[in-house]
Amino acid sequence: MEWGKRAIHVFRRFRDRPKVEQDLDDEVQSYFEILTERGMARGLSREQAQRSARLQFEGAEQVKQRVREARVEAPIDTTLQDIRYAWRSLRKSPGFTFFAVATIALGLGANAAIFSMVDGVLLKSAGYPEPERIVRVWEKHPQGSRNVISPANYLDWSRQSKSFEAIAANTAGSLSYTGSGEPRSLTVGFVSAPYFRVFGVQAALGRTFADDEDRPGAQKVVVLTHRLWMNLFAGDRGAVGRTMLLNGEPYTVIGVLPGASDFDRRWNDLWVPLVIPPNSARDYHYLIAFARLKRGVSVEQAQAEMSAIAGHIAELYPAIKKGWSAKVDHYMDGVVGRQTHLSLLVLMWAVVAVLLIGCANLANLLMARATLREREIALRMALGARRGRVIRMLLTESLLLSVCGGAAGIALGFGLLKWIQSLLPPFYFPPEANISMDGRVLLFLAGVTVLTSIAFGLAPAIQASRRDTAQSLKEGGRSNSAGRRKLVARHVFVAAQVAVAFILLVGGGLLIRSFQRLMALNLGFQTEGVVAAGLPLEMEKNPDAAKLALYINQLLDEVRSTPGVQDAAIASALPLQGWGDGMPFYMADNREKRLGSGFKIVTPGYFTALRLRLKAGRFLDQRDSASSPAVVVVNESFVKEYLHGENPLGKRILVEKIAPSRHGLLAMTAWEIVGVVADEKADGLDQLEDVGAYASFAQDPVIGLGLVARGAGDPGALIKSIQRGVWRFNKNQVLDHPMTMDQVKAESVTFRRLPAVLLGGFAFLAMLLACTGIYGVLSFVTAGRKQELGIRAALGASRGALVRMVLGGGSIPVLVGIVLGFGGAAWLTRFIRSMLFATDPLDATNLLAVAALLLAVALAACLVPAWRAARVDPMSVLRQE
Amino acid sequence: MNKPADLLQGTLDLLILRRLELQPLHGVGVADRIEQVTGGVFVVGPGSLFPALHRLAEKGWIAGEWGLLENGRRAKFYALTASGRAQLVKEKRNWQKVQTAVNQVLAEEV
Repeated sequence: MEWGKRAIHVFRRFRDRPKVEQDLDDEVQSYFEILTERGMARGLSREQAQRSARLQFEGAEQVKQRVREARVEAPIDTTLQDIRYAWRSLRKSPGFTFFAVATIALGLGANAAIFSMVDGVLLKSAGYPEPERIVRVWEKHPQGSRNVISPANYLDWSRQSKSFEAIAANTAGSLSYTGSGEPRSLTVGFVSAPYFRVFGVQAALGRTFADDEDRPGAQKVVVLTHRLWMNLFAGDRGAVGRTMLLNGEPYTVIGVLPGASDFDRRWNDLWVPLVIPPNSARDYHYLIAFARLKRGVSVEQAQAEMSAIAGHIAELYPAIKKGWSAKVDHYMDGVVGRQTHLSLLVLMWAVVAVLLIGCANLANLLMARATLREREIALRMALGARRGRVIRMLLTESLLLSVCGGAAGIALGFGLLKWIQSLLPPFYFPPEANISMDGRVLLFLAGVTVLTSIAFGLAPAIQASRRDTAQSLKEGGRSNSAGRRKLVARHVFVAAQVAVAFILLVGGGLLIRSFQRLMALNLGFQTEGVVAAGLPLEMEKNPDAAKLALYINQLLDEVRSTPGVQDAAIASALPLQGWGDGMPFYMADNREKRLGSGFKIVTPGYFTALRLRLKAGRFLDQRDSASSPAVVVVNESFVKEYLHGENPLGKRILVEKIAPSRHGLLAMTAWEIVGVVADEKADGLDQLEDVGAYASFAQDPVIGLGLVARGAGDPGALIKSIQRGVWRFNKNQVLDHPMTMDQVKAESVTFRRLPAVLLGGFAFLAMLLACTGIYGVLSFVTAGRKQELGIRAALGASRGALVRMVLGGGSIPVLVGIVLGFGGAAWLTRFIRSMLFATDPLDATNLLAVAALLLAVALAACLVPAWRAARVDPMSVLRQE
Repeated sequence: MNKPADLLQGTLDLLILRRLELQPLHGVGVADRIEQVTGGVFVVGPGSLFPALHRLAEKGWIAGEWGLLENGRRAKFYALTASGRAQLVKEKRNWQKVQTAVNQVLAEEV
């Protein structure tokens, strides 16, 4: 009540401000007149009476000021006054204001964006309840590596294990949706019924799978992601219970998952129960398993139990499972890949370094400014300003700078984060990553900059206000012995900035060089003019080898007859997307030693479409039919790895044929090597060795295919015409994610390009900030030395000599910084070794290039103040004395 | 040299309230009366009088109103408000307490 009244009162006075001031003026004036009249009444002349009244008054303005200070709103009033003053004074030195605000904004923005990413990917806990109880279960290969699971093993595990509250197998695939308009391929998670219980996720609408819905013969049901529900049903709650056509079969929608959850950030559009028939394969591995530990069961206990179960299975099936075991891992440990983790940490330290450089810059700028203003402060105090008031004024100025910089920084951070996210290919980060601008991060960063500006703006101000007024006025802002100490501090800041910028530049340079080397690498095939797409088939449920082969041949004929298409082929894995299958095999002349190789099934056109180079023998061709002898073409790595200089042609390898469903293996077959091709970088650009073999589709037809085609002209148009050709053949046939090979190549290296671009950018930023620092300090020093330079010029120093003198002084901290940076880079770059491709962390070219660049830019920053110093007119400087 | 005594902190408020209890006065009038009544012991210059008047007005104990002097000059007259009257009673009681206490201390000294 009392406060409310007071607030209204204060508000009124603000509103009626001119009137209130006028009233006070009138009152003081009337008082003055009365005193004057009284003096005149005592017989004084008008002038004498006025003088005596004025003496009594001790200054009318001071009286008014004290009245104002007695008012309730006085603190608000002075604050507003301070802000207005600070605003004016910042506007008067736009150079300083620009650099200070830009420094704060850049440091803050870069940190806000990167920390939000780090927080979203590495720190924020996943949206699952008790995520520490979720584990991933693997088979363990006899050689010790983790392996995906065979369906028969999974069935045994799920029946026999007691450690888990729920265990679920999972594999991905696609189904063609043909409900409306163009056929569309939907990414499907095939999961065991308890899958959602493992992750503790409930349907937002309807329900998830019941326990018996993954049994053979159960009714076909589907759970939609929120994303797909919005997309297909526009968020209609009546969608639950409806049926949708997938691969031509009706599925009943039973539930919708919550939106904005981890499940909306996955590949999968929808979820279908994974039906594992009882007679499934034990020697073909393709499932991934997740489980939720029972309360109180540790990972170690689960591991012990799974090892025992796997050991028992190995005893029962020694022919195929000898030496195999099981492995249980915390799920959350495997969510973020090692490379992503490392990249984020490196970027985080890079932006911290940028922030530190920025703070040093700010400190330098503010210290320089405070020194230049010593005279102004002294003058204010001589005119009666109290110390507290002066300090307050300077503090307001620092805070105003921080606020402006902070606001700009936050905007910049938002922009940067958006930009980075737009660069990321979809599903670059794990679905558990929830990236958004983080309030706590912003608050922390704002705190850091405000503290910096206070620490380095206020300390000199307090010092200045404490100094002897007369002394300051006499010196008039010229350098003095106290200034020398500050100068040393400034040089230390510059050296540190240069050192940190150097380290960042070396890191950024390494990543960029490594990336360039990667991109310049020979892929083994030509990307120009090649397009690729997934080819999900409606017959995927129960593929029949003969029908499959026929369908594919007809489809390929149709595509080849499309105008613009030169070559078209089918492959069990698209280029740069792996081998499709990794198969164990034996050399026909040595059945003891189990070997391994990539195994890609292709139609003959694959080699010509990609322009793979033949090294020996022949490519696969039309002769290799279902009825002719089985043949393979191997690559050079295969020859190097397994044939040790022997002639590969005519050798036979023993590999089991893959079942058309790709969920099991058929008879062991002897394949004759008929050709050798140059390596195709199948697993990605950075794989140095890529052992693989190609078998003919006619001899082992499977599903899960991709289409590649080479054509002339615009790849976008090519994709469209191929699509039309495919639909002419079968209007329900989907082409999934058609892309040019160049796009595929670019996406495959994003995890290397992104850190290179960002670290390079931050390093560049750091260099610019450091140079601003150098420039600022040197300008300040030369400004302080004007008299000295003037005298030198008067005594005959040439301009060149003056420039050399200033440059010499300015370059000392730069050189010291570069030397320190060399040491720091030598020590720190080892941490990014694993991010580098065929690039030595101590790459000499890189180090020298960075040193030269930094030195050149730093000298350029010194040159402007040096030039200014050399143009000092001795007469005008000396006259100022 | 006959130097006016320094006013005790807070005493000026009491003196002003007391003067205005008798009649509304303008600033010069308040200063005059205090000087007269205290026999020149307290001389209140505008430098302390103005902030004091405005502080009291701010608290709502006195209210200013423009009026005319006998010679036709405009001046701001201050009058005690109801809450000011209550405050004066409180301050008087306070003062008496302080005075008695100080006197007792002094008496004991003798």
